[in-house]
Amino acid sequence: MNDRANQAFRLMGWGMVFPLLNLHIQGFDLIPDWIGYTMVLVALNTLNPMNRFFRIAKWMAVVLVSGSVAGQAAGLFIGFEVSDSSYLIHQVYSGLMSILHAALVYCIFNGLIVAAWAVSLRDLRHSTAVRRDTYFIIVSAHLLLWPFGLNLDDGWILVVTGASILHLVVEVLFVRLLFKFAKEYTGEIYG
Amino acid sequence: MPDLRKLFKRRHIIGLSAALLLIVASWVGNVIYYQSMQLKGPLFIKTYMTITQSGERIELPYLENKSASRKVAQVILDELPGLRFDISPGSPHEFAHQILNTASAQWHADEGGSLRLLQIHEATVIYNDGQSVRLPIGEIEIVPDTRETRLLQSLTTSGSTDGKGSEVVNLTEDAALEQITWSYRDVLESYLHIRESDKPIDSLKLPLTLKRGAVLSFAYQWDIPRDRLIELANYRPKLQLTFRLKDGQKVRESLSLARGLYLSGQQIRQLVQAGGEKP
Repeated sequence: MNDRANQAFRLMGWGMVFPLLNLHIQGFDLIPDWIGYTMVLVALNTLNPMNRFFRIAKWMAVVLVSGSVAGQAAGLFIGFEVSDSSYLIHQVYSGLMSILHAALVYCIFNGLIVAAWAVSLRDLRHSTAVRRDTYFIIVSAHLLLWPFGLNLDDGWILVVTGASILHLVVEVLFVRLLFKFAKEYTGEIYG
Repeated sequence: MPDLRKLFKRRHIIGLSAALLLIVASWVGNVIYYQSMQLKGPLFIKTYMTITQSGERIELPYLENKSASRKVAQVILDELPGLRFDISPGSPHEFAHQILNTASAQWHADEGGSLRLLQIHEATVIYNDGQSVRLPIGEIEIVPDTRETRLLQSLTTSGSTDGKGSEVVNLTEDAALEQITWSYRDVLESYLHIRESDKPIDSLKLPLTLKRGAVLSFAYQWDIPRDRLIELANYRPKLQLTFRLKDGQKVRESLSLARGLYLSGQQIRQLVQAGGEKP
């Protein structure tokens, strides 16, 4: 049992809770994403010798930390100066951050699969692959539908809302998986 | 250590790139379309309205971007400075990118000289940030009826959403009907059909001598084909009747030819893309 790997998975799990909690709350951010992404970054920094996916994910986390810090700063300094395009800018920013977030999660999924494979945790590897594919399909559908909310009448927005609820569910499943790894993973970091 | 290339097969890469491409295309396309559907400022639906009696409401529908930070706070007609407009007294109608609001005010004869004829083409709009701008509104024409005491007494009035309506009136004194006309006839000629006792008004033989208590029954039918741009304007004409009384006095009285404004999402898009200049 490698405590460092398990601690890193747990830290990543808690870090991923941060962007989850404000996924749908507008306005001032009480649970800043950048704290969560920094936790993920620290965890990935520990895990990155394990495989290539964690190394790519680390750099994605760096981008997300800077992106969310920039977003929070923009919210603090120009958030009160509302202009006609602020709605659009907010939507595009959230969309871009969500796409990057999804890419990071997808990369971590692959890293987890490789990690489980390396120590022959077959069941864990299979359930991770299933969750990765479910995540990929649902999140892609949501990210695809989301911008249509800009242009559609209220009736159609229900479809986008439905997709965003499913998105939330698969994000929660991903976080639970990280905690599962924290508990069950048996491999070494330098494996 | 498993072979990463085996795990991350080519079809995975194709699938990922296809999804990413679709998502990016969806965002780019929707953002471009969203921006093309934004108005530069509030846009008044062109209203062509004839006001003839004290107490009538002037209603000016206008479109405003949903995401507008600068909103219409007050509307002023420079020609009628005493008029107080309420902004959207009813519930505003929401479309995909715009909200249809109404600036509404009650006109009283004393607010601009009771017998003064007036044509108003522009309104001053004051925004919530204090800035103001003059915008075209169409035309409000104030043509007060000749007298405060009405020659025509309304018996029944009806109007329905399919463009049908009727006005049944009787005369409170003997008079001869000399002329029937209606405002904006030059534009609306082929879209508004008016009949009196089931005969087209043009077939009436004028002057028509009428006794006190005689009944005039007008029925009208709006018939604007869906594809006409005129549909996008808010026409509120009046049927104007000119009578000569026994003492030789000429009296003009008017009846309303109501038409509701029902704009579809598609029509709103048409208006926005044309910048409101079409009708």
